[in-house]
Amino acid sequence: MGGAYEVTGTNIKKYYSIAGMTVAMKDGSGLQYLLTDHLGSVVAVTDASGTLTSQQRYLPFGQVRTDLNGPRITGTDFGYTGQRNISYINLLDYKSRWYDPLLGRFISPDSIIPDPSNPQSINRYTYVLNQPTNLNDPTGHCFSGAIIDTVLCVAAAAAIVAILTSGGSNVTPEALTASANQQSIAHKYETLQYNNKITNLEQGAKLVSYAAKQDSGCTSCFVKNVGAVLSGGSGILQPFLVDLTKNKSLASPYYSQGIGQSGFSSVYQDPVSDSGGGNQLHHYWYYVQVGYETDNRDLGYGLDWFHEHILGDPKGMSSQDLILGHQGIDTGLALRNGTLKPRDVGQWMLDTLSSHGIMHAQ
Amino acid sequence: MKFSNRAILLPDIWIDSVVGEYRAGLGNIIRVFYPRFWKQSIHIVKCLPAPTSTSITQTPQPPAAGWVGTNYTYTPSHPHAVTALSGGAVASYQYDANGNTLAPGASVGVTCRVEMGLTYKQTYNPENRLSTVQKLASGDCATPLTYSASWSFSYDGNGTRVEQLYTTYDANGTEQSGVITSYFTLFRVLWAELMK
Repeated sequence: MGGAYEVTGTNIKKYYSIAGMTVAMKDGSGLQYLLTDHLGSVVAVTDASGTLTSQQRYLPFGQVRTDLNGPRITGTDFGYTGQRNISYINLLDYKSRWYDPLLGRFISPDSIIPDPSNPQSINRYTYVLNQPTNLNDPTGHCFSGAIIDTVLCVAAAAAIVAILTSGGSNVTPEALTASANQQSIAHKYETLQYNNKITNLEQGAKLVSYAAKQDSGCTSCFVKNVGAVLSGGSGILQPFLVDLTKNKSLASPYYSQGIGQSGFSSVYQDPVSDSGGGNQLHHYWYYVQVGYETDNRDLGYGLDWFHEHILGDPKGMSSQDLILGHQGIDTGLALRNGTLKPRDVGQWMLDTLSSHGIMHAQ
Repeated sequence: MKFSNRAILLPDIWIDSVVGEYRAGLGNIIRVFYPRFWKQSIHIVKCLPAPTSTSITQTPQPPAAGWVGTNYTYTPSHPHAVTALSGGAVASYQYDANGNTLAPGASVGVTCRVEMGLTYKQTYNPENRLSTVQKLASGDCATPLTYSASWSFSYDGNGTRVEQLYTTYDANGTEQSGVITSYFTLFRVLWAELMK
């Protein structure tokens, strides 16, 4: 869900989120808790003491079911899959597009084809590949698994980056919660490289801030940990979104392998089942990979391998080590604990990169 | 502490019961079936035969007993654009000239929806965001006579909906004063805090 605050005349509603989930709201009638199902659909509302006050269920494509006893949910317009519902016009706001639950399709076509390798996604009106009972679509651009531990979501990386970088405007958490797979990112790499730049400290700090907040309270949400990352290029910071779930299949599960991504990220590490380490539950990095401007064709390889190419020495230090001096984990934890402010990290990153002659504040 | 706001839903496994029939080549929904009685204790997932027709418009078939079926109709020239629903849900849709999904970069979408007897006229802004929705009280989209309500949406530079104007009309079709709702995203609040 999104949205923290809404004002209609003198009526104010505030929403509260934990780890990206909207869990409560407050309006004139006091604090209320919102309970969701596996898709994030709001199915029940309780008052501050936990007493059920209203509930509803949905048909698979999102229409509100009419066969339940008791009052429907009226205090909030967050509904099916956690999107805002304007029931009077039978449309749901999926952020980039509007969705018609009666029709089971979007009313306007996607501006992108999110995954050209999947013929289903060529149908640009389709909602979540016609699998509404186990997928949802946080942004109107992609589809992601809610229960299953696999993210099918192929994000509209270019669109999101465009959002992130549109002049001076705010980065929305919704935009960042979409994840992306490496292949897609790599495919769009060249466009991103030259057309989308984050040039100011605030933008960078925002991304780091959000990445830090994403992980709070999360002990097993591998799927939901989407690192918002900054990559060092020639004098610019570049945003990428990284799907950390991809790490799970790698030989080095405690490395945040990805697209040659950089910045702050965290990886959940299962101390029992993960091989090759597993000495801590969370692994945090804040690092910047340099030189992928010349290595873009290598995107998608393992991090170790990638490091080797970055530094031109297969047995040398990784860029992570070079930049941070092994402080990445500490930094990540400090961010998480709130002892380090994201904007300070952003400044530190610029300073560090500048000292290596890699990046210059603009 | 593991936190979750997920509700524990009572055994009501309706969600397993939807059956859809999809056209392999186009990814279009052909039919959707819902069980008629949601709370029956036994749900049977029907295996429908694969569509054999290659025409765009499928021949509607009567839904199985105990199920409600909705048939989807497409136009041959715009193979992804649903033009009508029939059966369980009844609706029709009109697209503007840019709604042809085969024309890259020029796509807006549904401009007129008639769903379950209600007519909505829709316009889009130059960025393809839904701009207004007018609910008709009389007339049709081509020649609307009176409205019962209308919505206007404003978006910020990121495309996030930030404001909504809701206007009602009296029985004579005269516009009443509107109600504005403003939305503030989570990040704006956080960022304001951060910059203090």
